[in-house]
Amino acid sequence: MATLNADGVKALKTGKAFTDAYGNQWHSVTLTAQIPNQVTAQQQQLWTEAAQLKDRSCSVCHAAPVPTQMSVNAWPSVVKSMGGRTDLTQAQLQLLTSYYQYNAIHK
Amino acid sequence: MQNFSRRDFIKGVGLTACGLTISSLIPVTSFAEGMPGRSIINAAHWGPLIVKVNEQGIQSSTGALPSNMPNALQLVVHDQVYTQARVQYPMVRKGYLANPEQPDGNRGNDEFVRVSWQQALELIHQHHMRIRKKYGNESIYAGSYGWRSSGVLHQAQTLLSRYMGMAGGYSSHFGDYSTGAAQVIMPYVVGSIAVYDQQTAFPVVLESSDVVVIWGANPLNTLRIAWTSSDESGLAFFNELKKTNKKILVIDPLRNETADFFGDKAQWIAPIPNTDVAMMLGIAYHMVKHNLHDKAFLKKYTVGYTKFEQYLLGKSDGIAKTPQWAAEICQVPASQLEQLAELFCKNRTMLMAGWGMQRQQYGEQRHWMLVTLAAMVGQIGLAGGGFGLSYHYANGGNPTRIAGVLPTISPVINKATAGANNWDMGGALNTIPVGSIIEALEHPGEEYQNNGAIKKWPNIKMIWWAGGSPFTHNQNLNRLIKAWQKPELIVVSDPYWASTTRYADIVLPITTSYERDDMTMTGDYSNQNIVPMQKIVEPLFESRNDMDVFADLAELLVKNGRQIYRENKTDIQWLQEFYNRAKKMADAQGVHMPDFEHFWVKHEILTMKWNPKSAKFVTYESFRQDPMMNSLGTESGLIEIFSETIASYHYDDCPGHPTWLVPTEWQQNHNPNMLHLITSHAADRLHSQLNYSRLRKQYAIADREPIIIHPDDAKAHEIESGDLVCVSNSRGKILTGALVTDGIKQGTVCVHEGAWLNMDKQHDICKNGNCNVLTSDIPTSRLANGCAPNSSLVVIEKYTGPELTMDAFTPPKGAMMMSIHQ
Repeated sequence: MATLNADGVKALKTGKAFTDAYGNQWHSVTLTAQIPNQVTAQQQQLWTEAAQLKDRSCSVCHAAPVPTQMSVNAWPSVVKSMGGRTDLTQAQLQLLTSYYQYNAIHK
Repeated sequence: MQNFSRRDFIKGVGLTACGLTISSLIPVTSFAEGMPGRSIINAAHWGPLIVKVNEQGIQSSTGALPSNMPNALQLVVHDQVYTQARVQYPMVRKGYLANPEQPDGNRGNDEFVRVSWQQALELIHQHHMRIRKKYGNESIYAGSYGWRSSGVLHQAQTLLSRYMGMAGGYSSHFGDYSTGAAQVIMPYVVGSIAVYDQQTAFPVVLESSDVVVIWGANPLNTLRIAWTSSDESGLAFFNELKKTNKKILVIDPLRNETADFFGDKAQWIAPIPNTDVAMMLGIAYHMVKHNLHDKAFLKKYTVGYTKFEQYLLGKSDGIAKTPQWAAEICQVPASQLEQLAELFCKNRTMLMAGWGMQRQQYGEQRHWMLVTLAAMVGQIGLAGGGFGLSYHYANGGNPTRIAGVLPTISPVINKATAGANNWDMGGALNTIPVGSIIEALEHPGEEYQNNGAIKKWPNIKMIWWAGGSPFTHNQNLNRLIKAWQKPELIVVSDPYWASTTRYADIVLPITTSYERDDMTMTGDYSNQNIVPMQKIVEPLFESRNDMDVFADLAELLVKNGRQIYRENKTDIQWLQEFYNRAKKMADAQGVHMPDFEHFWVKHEILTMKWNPKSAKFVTYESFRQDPMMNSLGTESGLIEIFSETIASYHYDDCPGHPTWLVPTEWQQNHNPNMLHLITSHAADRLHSQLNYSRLRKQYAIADREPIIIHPDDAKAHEIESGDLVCVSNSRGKILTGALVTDGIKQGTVCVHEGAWLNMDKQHDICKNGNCNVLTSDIPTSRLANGCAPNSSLVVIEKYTGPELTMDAFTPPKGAMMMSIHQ
């Protein structure tokens, strides 16, 4: 949901590294920054809204999938491919993707 | 298969009266051709329709889109409305009505009693509430599944969920019968479902592919239908493909309609069923031995190839998967497998795969191996190369239009619009793999493995089925009939006395889509059209819309429930709202849609805007261009030929890379007298839909579902074309009519799925030839728990028993009220 510019990358504090089953190295990172836009203090509100989008648009052709049905990596392409059949906007699809990813298996 | 001509159809209809009122709400355009009366636009899965009506009712129907490819399904709207198989009145099983808490008799083995709508709904409400209170919300199974009628408003299953949600929640399903295995394995392999993703566009295939392989698919048959409504572009595409000089291969145990269509222009290759993985391994082995495989592609875009190659070459298990090894298994000559390897690697090759091959035990392996093969060829992401898993379905490949898309009725009530902020909605509380309904009924509360997790079967005490028929699409129906006796109440709402309806306690007569107002998109991938579906005739007998039935039941749940359920909107107001949302989306993209009033009154089909960019779409193109920035949704971001995640589940029925696993029920490890049964989709039906129609006269043999038998097998069993054939195994018996032809692999028989169940209780045989009496209901594996009907063996013999009258389309005892005959 956020991207970093060059300054942002510099501001990252890199923590411990680990290697996954595929040989890729991952680092945990910390970032302290200010967000100029309004943000919500409660994530739950976002997920409630996302779940409503899911109920409205993801059971048109099939039973609405539950987040644990797919991996965190798979949800973006699944939502993208399926989203073309709905009237959801790009922003709504993004929210839906985040909802599925945050609640997916293999976080 | 012979096509039904328009002339035959009109001749057959007759012009006798049936005393129907015709909707006069809508001024309609008159079409010049044909008989006097009006022509009304409607739509079904088989495409937008023009239906002609006069004072006597529906006279004829035909496709409404310009098309040069015939589609017989479009011609029988008349039969859909007037068939004797219609449910006319609310009905209750006699033994249930007498004592709802301790019913007498068996479901499916009782007569029915007519009741009033009020009586039926009060009876449902009373016992629904009692069961829900006693056993909890999870005990209510509302996971109805099936090809309910097209339309964005009158969606039977969604409307059922909406009501059951209002009542506190329910158990439901996940996955589907079509792609149960593939849709679960593909996200691990390519990071998306793939089976329902848009395909490389038709124009790209026509321009760039040299070789088109139609593997286990029958597009000329299955493209007659689509999930929303067919945009009919797929049949036209294959017609164009036929005109080119491309090399076309059809790989299928059956010389299907597609092979027939291409005739001399295609090569038919027939492996025996269940052996596709072995066949592909043989091809892959040749690629490696002759250094044909694209090592640069495998290195840059895939993970796990090395482990797979060790298996392929026999280094990990001691068995080299040579073409000779594969040929023994799939019964396609080794030299032909070698030629295929050369052909695929030396030409731009598109592998179009169907789904029947994954409706088999270990079905997950099929498309995983196909993607692996395509990765070895190295053309994934190139124009006209790679693989596509949806060219045979819903016109995948028709470029996506710039479009307004109709939203649909939701299973969840919008509390704000409904004025019901204090009303708590429940949703799907427990979900089961859709093909596991028997397991769920037999093992309530027990644990099972699914996709790396442990789940628990709900304790189902009430089932409501709407818009579908498990007695058509589920496997091992005799086992289902037994398990189906366990719940305390089963309600079926349906227009017809179809297979499942007969096994209900309470039956509610529902309108067909020609007796109500609705709308639909066409093109599941293309969003090509918006089609009005206007009421053509008033509902027959006492049939009602699902929407009105559930709204009435909602009123019994809570005061003002009817308005809450409907969110204070009439049907036409719902349609207007959906339309306006689509229009807003269209407006934002510069696509013109008229006002709703104009659209509805003019009742014309709207066509969305062609998108030249979509017409150049190539699947995985952006991934190929930059696999880091456009990584796939897999664990590694690359195509996974070996999946660490799947391997970590330690499932012996779904190991970490594509593997040839010998099916439990397979000819080479059984009595050679047994034949492989395949249960492909029928050309002249949509699953069980239209089985009663006049199209049946064209395909039924001896008034039964045909069984397609190879001449050698027919000879060995002393069977000739036209004979009655008893097909059986340990699970049951069906009666079929023999069609002897060399258009099927020796050792394999085909009985198309979708014949209505018609059990003769005394002889324990299905008189109409429903193949799912015989199919095995094992899951594909613990990964996906998909259905696996195509891993079943059968015995055939000429039927010499007592004469058994086929009465699948005659309503059960007590339910035959009035003759509908025209």
